Order: sequence, then structure tokens, then C-alpha cells
Amino acid sequence: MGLKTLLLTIVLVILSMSCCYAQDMGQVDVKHPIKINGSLNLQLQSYSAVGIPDREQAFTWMINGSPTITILGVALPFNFLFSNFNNRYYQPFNQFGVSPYYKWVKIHLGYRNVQFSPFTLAGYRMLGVGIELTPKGFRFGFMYGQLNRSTTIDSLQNANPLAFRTQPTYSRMAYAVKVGVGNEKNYIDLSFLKGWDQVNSLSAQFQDSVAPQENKVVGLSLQKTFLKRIVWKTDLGFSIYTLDTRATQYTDVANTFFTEKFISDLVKPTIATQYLLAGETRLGYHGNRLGADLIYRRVDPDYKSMGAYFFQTDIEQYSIAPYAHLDSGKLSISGNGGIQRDNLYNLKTATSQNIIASINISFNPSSKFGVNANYSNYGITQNPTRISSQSDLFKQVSDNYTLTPYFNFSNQHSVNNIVFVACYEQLTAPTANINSSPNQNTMVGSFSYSHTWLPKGISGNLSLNYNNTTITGQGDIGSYGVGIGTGAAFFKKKVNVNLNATYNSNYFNSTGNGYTLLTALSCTIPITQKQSLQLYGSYLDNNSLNTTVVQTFSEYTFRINYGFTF
Amino acid sequence: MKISAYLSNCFSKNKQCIITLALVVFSYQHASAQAQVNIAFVLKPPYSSYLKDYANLGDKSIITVTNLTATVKQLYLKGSVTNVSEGLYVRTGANYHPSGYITLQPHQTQVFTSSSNVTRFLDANNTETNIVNPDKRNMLRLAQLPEGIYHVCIQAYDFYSNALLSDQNGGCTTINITLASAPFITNPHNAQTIPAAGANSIVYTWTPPIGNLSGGRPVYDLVVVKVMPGQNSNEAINAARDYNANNPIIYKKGLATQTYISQPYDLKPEPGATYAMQVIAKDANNTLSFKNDGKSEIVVFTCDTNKTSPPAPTKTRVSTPGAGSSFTGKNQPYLQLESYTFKGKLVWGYKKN
Repeated sequence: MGLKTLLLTIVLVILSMSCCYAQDMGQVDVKHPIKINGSLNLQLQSYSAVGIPDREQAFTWMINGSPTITILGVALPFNFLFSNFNNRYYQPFNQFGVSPYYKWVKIHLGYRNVQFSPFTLAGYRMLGVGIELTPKGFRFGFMYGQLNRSTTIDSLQNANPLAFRTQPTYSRMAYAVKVGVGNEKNYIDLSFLKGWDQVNSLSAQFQDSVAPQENKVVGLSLQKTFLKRIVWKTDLGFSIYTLDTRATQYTDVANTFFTEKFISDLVKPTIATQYLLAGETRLGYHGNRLGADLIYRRVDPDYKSMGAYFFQTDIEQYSIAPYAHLDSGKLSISGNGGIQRDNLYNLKTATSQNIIASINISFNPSSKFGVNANYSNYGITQNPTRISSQSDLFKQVSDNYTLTPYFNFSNQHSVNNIVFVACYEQLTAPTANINSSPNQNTMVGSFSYSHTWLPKGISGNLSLNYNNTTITGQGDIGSYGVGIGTGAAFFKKKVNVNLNATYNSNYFNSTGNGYTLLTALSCTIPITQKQSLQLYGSYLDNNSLNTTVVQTFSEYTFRINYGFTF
Repeated sequence: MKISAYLSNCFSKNKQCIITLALVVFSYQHASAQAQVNIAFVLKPPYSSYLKDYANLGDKSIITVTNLTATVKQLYLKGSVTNVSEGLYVRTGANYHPSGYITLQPHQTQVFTSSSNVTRFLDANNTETNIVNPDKRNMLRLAQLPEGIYHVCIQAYDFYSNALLSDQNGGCTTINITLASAPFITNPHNAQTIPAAGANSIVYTWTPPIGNLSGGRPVYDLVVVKVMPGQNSNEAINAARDYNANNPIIYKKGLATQTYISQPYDLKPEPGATYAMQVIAKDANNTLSFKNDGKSEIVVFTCDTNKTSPPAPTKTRVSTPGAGSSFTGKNQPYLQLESYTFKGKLVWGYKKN
């Protein structure tokens, strides 16, 4: 079915675009009427484990590519992904699609992730057709297709109690429209999406437990650029989401929520219908060396669109994100700070306030030395809004510090690299309730040194690593170890072979808990200038004394990657 | 003391005892007259906050109705949902009278587990409430009940006389409704590049669900999966989480803490590959329901290619929540490139056309 659809798609696209190239033959390269470029990747993997259930499929294959065929000036950028992960019981893993374009006409066919607005059609995968038109000063888009296919449990699954059970779902369809004016820098767009579950797509036995839903959502997006560097961008969304289309309609509309009065003709008002708002506005100055964004975001509790993947809701947030590039780019600093709260409609028994702060400093004074430092903080404070024994005050702060210095020393004969990574993560709950996690401290450190003898094409590396997590009242877990490896280039330095081994000693509650040995051999073979082959094989041996933490096991992985760019 | 001994002793003593006994017998008879029908009511956890799930109890409940008498009963059901701490209720209206009835033969028991007209007594058009604006408006706009402890009760009424047949205080169950959010991933950040030297011990952290967690015990599933070239990160996670596909490198279930450090025995991320991560909160006691079924926003990060190369600059998170979880402004530090010096004369020219 997939191959037929793909072929049909190609034919349709070529036919549909034939009218376009006829309009402007002067621009066509008649000497090369058909051009093909892009890439193709094939991966085969074999895996086996002894001592534990397989953590991966025993054999997997995956092929993906993004070829672009240009026929008489009309570009047909395809992409596809096929593998043996696909299964008829769930949403398709295999995907293929093409978005041919010519000047200001773009057509979408197949599996596409199109975005009209962050609150309406926001990149949700759709199997369907669409078009985008962007002639001067005008912006139009339309998409129609299937968001989810119907999945159910069949007799084969019922017969096998160990079979994987999927959640029954309806086939979900949608269409979306965008109309706007402007260009990429200054525009105003109005978008609309309607999505619905097809009731008859699911067998009757499951319809009682799975509610068919419907969604109508309208969005407004605008952007205005002032003085080339000041940008104001706003996105708004109003979603009418019906959680169960079978819910009884209100007979007395006047006594219900006010919005239903003026939209009752458009939307059947029921007790399962939500009327939800979301918006974000940001004002930014984007200079070459300095800049900042001021952001305000507010999303109603449970806001959702069938055209968007899940994002955090019931939130109001103010934040600022400055950056600076100083000393000719040797010093870069960027940060982020903000406050946010939830419980916008006082429906929760406690309101949470979060403080977010992060800063990243990258200092690279020369090609021999550089350091990257990062700090981030995420704090939550929860205060009760009503007198309730279930809403104890709760506080939690998460701090993360990461420091990554590096050194490079190179000359005509050799290259030396040294990299340190140090990370400290702290999770504390100054005021805790019964469901709080205990305080946690995590330390991660690693050191890597590599030396390459350039004339001989030989390299060697040494690494040390350590990690420890301490949980108050529960103990600690971690490991420390050493890694060693070597690489060599053969056949006029075209074929690279690398061998690496890492040995780690593990511990749990300050007691040794065995070891982990990982050995890996990899080889890169350039077949031609545009084709290459990578071979990878690894063996992992894990010996555990306390099998409640992890079992004793070993596993083998062998992988072949073939890449072709054309 | 045996009942017979107590009675003989009582009758032989005084009149007051006889009056007391008469009152007890009378009250027993009165109670028996009220409780002609017994209702046992169970709501299936986790408990939803959506109004629609109470408007039609349908398959979300088990309602067992038993005729305690020796006569045929024709009855209908009424119910109420009451927020205990706030004293707010939604209940079947006084004027409610369905078109059909339940017929119970003497001492017969009927169990209702699926959607039917008899379970729609809390439907929007059949109810009354003491909730006033703005709370009522918000509740209807969001189609959700506020957080709190609720009593959900069902009573049986005679179809013809409208007399209460079941116990006034019976047929009740107590539930905890929560609007707890899904967890939020605090490390790694979205679009972060993990230094290859640190890829063996990646620190994954997240927040707990925020909301009323009373009676629950949150535990977490952690999924980390490679995003195939051209693949949407949400699709990659969905395939791994829901369908055991896509070979996740980490799929830990039932973690009790908000942190996980990848250990030497975990599957290794491939250098240069992009990974998607999600945390799913679940209630080990199976009473709480979290937003988005406890599934967090997805965070995408990349592992650096070369173990001994300088670390790629980390993009700073500009905004924590939102579509895609975070986004970066035009604040990327300059790329670190190797520099070469050439000496000589550069000659160039242009074609006439």
C-alpha cells in the first residue's frame, strides 16, 4: 500500500506541477531538465542479550532519505522513513511525503508537519494534501488530511495475553486554513483548524469507553519589525474543544457560559465543551553584539488544539532573555530569567510560583583554550489557596552547574586535545510535603585526552569518568572507571579503524556492585567520493552483585550504516 | 446478654423500658421503610476532573441496585457531586423525572456498568447547583471540576410517587479530584548539545506533578529515544512509549525519584545523533489523574560528535514552557572554527554577463 501510494504521489505531483513550469520557461535550465540531489541512509542492526530481556529488537532495518528532484525548474523535495518498526496496530512509523514548490506555489502531499500558528496547526503530523501560496504581499495555506489513524485490538491480540495492547483510537481528520498579508518579517495571519474523530472508524465495542472528540480553533499571528532590529511578535489562539461529541446539548443556553450565546450557532454547547485561550507576545532587540527578548505568555488550563502536540498549560509567565557577544566573539554570554505561576482560574487547591534562571558563558580566548560554563535554576513554591489539609506548602529548588574547559595543542606532527566535564546537580526541598522527592545531589566528572600522530594517521585516547548520586535517607549510586582507545587510518588514510574499551566499577549504597566492560570496534570505509560505509560492533559485559539494582548480563550490537549523498 | 434474657428482664422491671423498646422498634421499622432499595456505588479510578465523566457515569462506574423488599419496585436514580471542603454541589434537579424506569423484582439485584439512560441523571440539563459566578462560569468554560475531595452519591426514587427508596446517606463514594500538571523536564534543556565526553553520564531531571497529590504516590517513567533523520520528535517518543518501537536507549519504569543518571550499563547515545526525552508521571496508587496523562513536554538534545573535540556552545533556554518546551533566540555564540593562514596573491575575475 505504501509503495503504491508513493508512486501515485510522484505521478500526481509531476502532473500537477506541469502547468506551473509552462508559465515561465525562460528561467528553466533546458540543458539539465532533470536534476537529483539529496541523501540516502540505510541502517541495519543486529542485537542480542544474555541475562536480561532484550532492550532492543533483535534485528532492525531503517532507510531514510531526503532526495530533491528538480524537473524543468520545479523542485520536488521528498523525504521518507521506512523501517521494520512499523506495525499495523499503531500509528504509522513509516512516513513519506513531498512538498514540491515553484516560485510562490508549494504543494504538500503525504506525511507533512506544517505550521500555520503555534496554537492552531502547529506541526502535528498529517497525512494529506495541502497548498501554500505566497505571492507578493499575500499568504495563504490549506491542509486537509488524517491526524491519527484508527487503532484497535483485534482477535489476534485477544488470543495472545502477552501481546502488546494498544489504546483504541478513532480515525482523526482535520483541515486547516491560513490567510494573511505581509512577508517573512512583517505579517498578519489568521488561521483556522477543524478536527474531528470519525465515529464509525472504531468498532462499536470500544466506542463506549473512548469518546469521539471535535475541535475548532482560530488563531491570530502577527509580526512587525521596527528599525531592522526590533521585532514584535504575537500569537493568539482560541480553541473550542469538545471532549465528547455525544454529550447532551444544553437546552437552556442562556444559563450557561456567556460565550456560548454568540457562538451557539457555530458550536453545539455541551458540558463536554471547553472554551480555551492561549497567547504569547514577545518584544526583542536583536543586535549583532547585544540583544534581548521580553516575553509574556499565558495559556488557559487544558488548552489544546488537535493540530498541536502537547505543551504546558495553566500558566502565566514573564521572562527576559538577554545575550551578548563581546571581544570579537571570544566571549559570549546568554541568559534567561523569568517567573511563572499556575492556577489561573483558582481551580486548584494550591498555586505554584516558579522562578527560572539560567546563564551560559562561553569564553574562547584562543584556539588552544576555551571554557563553557552553564548554570540553571528551577524553583517551585506552592502556596495553598484554600484551607485544606491536602494542600501543604511545598518548595523545591533544582540547581545545575556545568563547567567544560578544553585545551587544544597542535603542530605539523601531532594534535592533542584535553576536555574536562564537571557537572553538579542539586535538588532540594526546603519545605516538603508527603509526596516530595528527597533531597538529591549528583556529581558527574569526566576527563578525556587524545593524541593524534598526523604523519602516520594513528591516534590514541584515554578517559576517566565518575558519577555519583546521593539521595537523602536512601543512599547513593554511581560508578567510576577508565577508558582507553586507539585509531588508525589504512589504505592511504581512507579507511579509519577505531577500537575503544571502557571499564567502570559500579557501587550502590557505598558497596561495590560489580563492573561494566564495554568494548567497541568501528570502521569507516569510503566507497566512493559520495558513498561511505560504517561498521560498528560492541560487546557489553555487566557483572552485578546486587541484582535488585541491575542484573548481570551481556549484550552484543552490530550495526552497518550506508550513506549516499548525490 | 442474650436478647431473650434482656427482654424478659426489661418487661419485668418497668414501663420506661417498654416505651424505650417501642421507640427502637418503631425507628427500625421507619428505617426499613426508607431503605427498601440498597445502592452500592463504585467509581473507577483514576478520577477524572472533566464534568462530562460525571454527567454520564456510564462505563466509569459500577452501580449495584438491590431490592430489599418482597415487592416489585419501579424506580429511577438521582445523584450528587459535592465538593466537601467548599460545600459546593451539582446534583440532579428536583424536577427531574426520566421517561423510563428500572424494574426490580423482589430481592433482585441489577448492576449497571455501561452507558444507558439510567446513568445520565447528572446530565447538564437535569442538574442544579449552588455554584455561582465566577466559579460557575470558569467551571463551564473549562468543562472541569475544581480540585478537592468530593462525595459522589446516588439515591433511588420510586418512579410513581417520587418517594426516596434508598438510604439518604447511602450510595456514596469519596474521591479526590486533582488537576495536577504533568512533570516538567529541567535537564537536559531543549536543543542542548551534550559534550561527547559527558555522554556516558547524562543527568536527567524533572519536576514533580504540581497539584493536589493527596492519596497518591507519583512514580515516573523515563523514555529517551533517537530521533531518526526527518522524523518528528513527538512521533519518535510516541512510537517508543506507546508501542514498544523505535529502540529507546533508556526506558525506565516506576522511578521513585526525579533524577536519573545514565549508568555504564545503559545503552549509549550515538555521537552526532539527536534524542528526544519524555517523563511520564503515574500514580502508583492509581487514584490520581494527571494532565496529558502525566506525559511531559518533549525535550530534544544532541550528543556531540567527537569525544575529544571542544564542546559545542550550549544554547540558553529563553522560555521554559510552551510549544516545543523552549526556544532559542538569536543568541547563539559564535562557532569555534579552526583558523588557517595562507600567503600569496589572489586573482579573480567576473564573466561579462
